[in-house]
Amino acid sequence: MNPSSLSEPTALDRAGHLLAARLDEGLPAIGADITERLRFARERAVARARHARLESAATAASAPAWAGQSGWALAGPGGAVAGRWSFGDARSGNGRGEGSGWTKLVSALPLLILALGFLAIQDTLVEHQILAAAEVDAALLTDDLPPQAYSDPGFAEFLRRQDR
Amino acid sequence: MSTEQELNDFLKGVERRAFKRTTYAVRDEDAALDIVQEAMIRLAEKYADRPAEEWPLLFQRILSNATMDWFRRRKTREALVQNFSSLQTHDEDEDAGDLLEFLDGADNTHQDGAGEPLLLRKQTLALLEEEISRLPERQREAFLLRYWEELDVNETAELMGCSQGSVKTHCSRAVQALAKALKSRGFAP
Repeated sequence: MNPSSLSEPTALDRAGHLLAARLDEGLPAIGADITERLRFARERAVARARHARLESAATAASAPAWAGQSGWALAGPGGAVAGRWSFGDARSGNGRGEGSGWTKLVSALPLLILALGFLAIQDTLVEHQILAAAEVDAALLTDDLPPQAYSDPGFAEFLRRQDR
Repeated sequence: MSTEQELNDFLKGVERRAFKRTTYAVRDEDAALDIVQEAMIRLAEKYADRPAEEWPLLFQRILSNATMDWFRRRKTREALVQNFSSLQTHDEDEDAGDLLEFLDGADNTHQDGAGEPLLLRKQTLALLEEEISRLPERQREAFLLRYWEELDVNETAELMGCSQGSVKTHCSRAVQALAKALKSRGFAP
């Protein structure tokens, strides 16, 4: 027996296919319950595919068709109004730069709104801080006790003893 | 674009083998069914619109990934044992004789199994399935993809993410191990 003959792919492949052919004999013996569950899984997968297709079709129909680059137009076959927004025919090259500008502007709009929102919140917070500081100042200045008293070590010690 | 009927027919054609192949790997029929269902759904959701000719390779890849995901999630001791056992070395020269004797034995049996008693055929199948389950994971995957799914070496290598040489090595070791196991128990292929 020559071990080098093993390197021939035919010997290995032949043995492999022989063994694999044996496995096919086990396929019809798969139980009815398993077969039924496989059928259910298959039907579920096909239904998912159908659902995914419908969903993508619905998305494509409802979303603005950003197909072109040549500016806003109500486009349809032969230029008729199709009832949805579309960017005309990109191949014409008409207004290509303008369409690109519009796209950038519309894309930047949410960011702009977000930035304005942050500025408004910051402004409100600063105003609240100023008002709170003004209230403290007003309370100190209108009190019977002069504000300098709070910097006096003796008075501070007196307050600490009072707290105890 | 592929139709629903085409997808259904394709899945019907591969579901049994997919189930068996996964069962060999995870050794749990319920888990195997879950994995096959997951693979079917992934294919249907993401690749149903692809040409039907691309489905076989895509499905095998998805099934392999789904099986690996299952192992990752479960992280059982079995998975670790299988990984470690794949590191074991084999004596190629010793195995070579077994394979050739195995093939000689195969020549002496009826290829269609017509003359073989039904009980013996069932016993051979059961032993073979048991031994396939015992193979290291990569060897089992290479063997099943190459010889059962009948993919070529290049496709198998692509699916397994390794070189063609590695596929040949895995296949060689798997076939030798299976042939040796069958022969040692007195079974013909």
